[in-house]
Amino acid sequence: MPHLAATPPTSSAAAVPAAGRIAFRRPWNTPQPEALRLRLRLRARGVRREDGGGVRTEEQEQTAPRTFYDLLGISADGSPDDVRASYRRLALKYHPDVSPPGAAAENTRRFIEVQEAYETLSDPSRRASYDRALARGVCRLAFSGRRSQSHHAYYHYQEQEEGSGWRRSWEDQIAELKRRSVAKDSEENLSWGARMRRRAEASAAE
Amino acid sequence: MAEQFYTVASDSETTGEDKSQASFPDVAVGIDIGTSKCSVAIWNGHQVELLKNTRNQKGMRSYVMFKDDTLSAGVTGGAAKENAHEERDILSGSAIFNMKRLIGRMDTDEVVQASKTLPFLVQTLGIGVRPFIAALVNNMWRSTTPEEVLAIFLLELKALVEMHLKHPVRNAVLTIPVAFSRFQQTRIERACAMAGLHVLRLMPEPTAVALLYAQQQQQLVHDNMGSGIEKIALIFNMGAGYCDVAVAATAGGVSQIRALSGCTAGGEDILQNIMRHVLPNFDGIYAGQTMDRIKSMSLLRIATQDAIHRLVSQESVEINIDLGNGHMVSKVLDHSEFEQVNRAIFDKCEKIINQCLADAKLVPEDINDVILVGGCSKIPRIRSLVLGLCKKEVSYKNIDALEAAVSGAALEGAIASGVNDPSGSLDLLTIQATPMNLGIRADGDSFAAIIPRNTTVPARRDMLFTTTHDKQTEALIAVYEGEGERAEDNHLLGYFKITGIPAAPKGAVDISVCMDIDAANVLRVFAGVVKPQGPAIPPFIEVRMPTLDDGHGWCGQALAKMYGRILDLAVLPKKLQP
Repeated sequence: MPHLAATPPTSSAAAVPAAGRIAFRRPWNTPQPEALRLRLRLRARGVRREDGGGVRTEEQEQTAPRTFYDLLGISADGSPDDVRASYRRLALKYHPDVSPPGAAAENTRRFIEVQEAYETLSDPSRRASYDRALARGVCRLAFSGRRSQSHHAYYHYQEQEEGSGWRRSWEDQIAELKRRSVAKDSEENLSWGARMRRRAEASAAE
Repeated sequence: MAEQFYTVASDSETTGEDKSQASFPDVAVGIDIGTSKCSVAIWNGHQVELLKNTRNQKGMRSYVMFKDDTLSAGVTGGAAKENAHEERDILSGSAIFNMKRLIGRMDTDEVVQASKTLPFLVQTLGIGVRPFIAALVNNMWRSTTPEEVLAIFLLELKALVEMHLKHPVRNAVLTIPVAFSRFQQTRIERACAMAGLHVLRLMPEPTAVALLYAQQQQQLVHDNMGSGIEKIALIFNMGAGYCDVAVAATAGGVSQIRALSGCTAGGEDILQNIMRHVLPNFDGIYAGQTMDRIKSMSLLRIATQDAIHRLVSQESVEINIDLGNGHMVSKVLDHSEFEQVNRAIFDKCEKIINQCLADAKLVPEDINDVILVGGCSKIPRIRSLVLGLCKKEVSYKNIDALEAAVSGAALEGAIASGVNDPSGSLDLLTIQATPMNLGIRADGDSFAAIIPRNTTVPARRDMLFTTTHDKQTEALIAVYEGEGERAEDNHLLGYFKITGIPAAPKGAVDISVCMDIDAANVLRVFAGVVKPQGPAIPPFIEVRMPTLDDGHGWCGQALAKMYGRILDLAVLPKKLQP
């Protein structure tokens, strides 16, 4: 039997915007210190995310989520059960298996974002790092369709925490104490094991 | 082979839209082609229904008989003829079976090597090409391929379904082993295309079972007004050819696959081990397929298979066979001997269960239910092994071991076909995960995993790389799948070159490689320069994987030898990833 000729790969609608987004990233013309460059790059990316790049409608722009908590539709002190329940609810809404055909591409992108938010907030150590970053107003828009960005943002949190501990003001400390007193689950989740994992991850990052 | 035995559909049909556009009610059927038995099921509007053949069987033998210049598959088992196929006929060399074990494998594969003692012809050259396979027809060996055999089988299965439903069938959800590589998956899709079936989803067998479990849990909540608390199930599936494990977290109809693990260990391996145990010079006696040897081998195989089945409910069994030519087998086999002979297989099972629990970051106490499915899950040693590792006394009772996978596939077929059920029986979702790492070769022969194992699907991940030579303007992207640290230890899926990289000192240009897996498990790779130093940016390249038509083992070696050094890439350090 002759081998069937392979069909040339076809482009999918979902691929084009992402490829465009990647290809047209803003270049950096002047060399900058590494930490500053990373910070600027991240912030610039957040700004573009806010613009929406033509993917979102005007209405969606106004209601675009700004944090993982907004994306999952829970409060900042939501319990791990809240995180999981919200994730399941949004999965039933956005997963392409249960999407209307016309919305599959957009919903796939949303599902990937929801997945990333869920993965961050369901891991106690990653959630704690994310919360501290939010409290300092850093990396507020720290999600995208790409895992490595979140990965980098995570390492960025670690870097900040280790390198600039002396800069944390007493206001930050008070806010942290308030957050911990309100979210008992979160406090309990900062177990010895979680702290060990965080240190292991931090040492792996270096 | 005569063309009229099956319809060759073009490849483009396999890349059609997920959702059906047909005018008649086109719900995807669920098909479970096991290594030894197959079954087919469909959502009939109210529930999942397993279809039966003309011999009133739900489980049909997975083989194709090539005898007497006519073809007939195990779907009907030759029932149309005066003499139905007997076990001896299937083992006469005229039938091809175990196609699921053979499909998409190279001749260096140990599974293919172990298949050379099957009654039909399997020849290998040991250089990484596909094996030569032939069936005995009119006293001659006639060549075929596992894909052709599977296509013929599917054609007969499709006819059976259409006879039941009274309308054409277009879409199907098929179950596959977790250990199936993407290359093997494309072979399955090719066979389906030959049979006129479009594959809506390829579903790892334990995740199909997880979907069925999710439906049952949801029904339980409905009936008892219980809370939608999350339940963790460990699903162990062992059939004739493969062993799979999955950990699924289920609540509110959503089944999230936390971890997957699989290996090629199954009933066929157990059978081979026992045959060699009761006949120590097995390989010497059966080297080369002569008529006498094939007949003798079939006697041994039937007797050994029967003994293993009886051992499920007996303490010991006797095996007495006259194989001819002075070879006699007279042996008593008990449980401890059986377990000793197959220790390596049970160790494999234990390893993938432990890996699955570790990947899911769970301890045995976290597991609520242990679900055992597949024919080999009835083996006492298997049951005690799995339940012991999960610290459970009993397994989950409400799922039939042989019908679970195909029922789950039919459910997925209904859901993915957009069927809406007012009773809420289809308010279900399985969130799949990738069973293997996906990445490219970089830093010499290292494997850079871009999408790691157990990543939720759909997924999109990227990684930054950079040049390894000054003024390097091209880079080879060789895409691999597997668990090995070195690229060569994994399956090569395809390759392409990035050209037009701006000439610059090494390490100065950032190259992004992005991998995207959609809900239908289609893998696309995007790659290109993202940090230009020159005036123009070359366009990104998008490639759907796999691109290789055959899994030639030496292709990867040739690529590494010719291009591995001059077109190499280095992974950027983690802190420099975007």
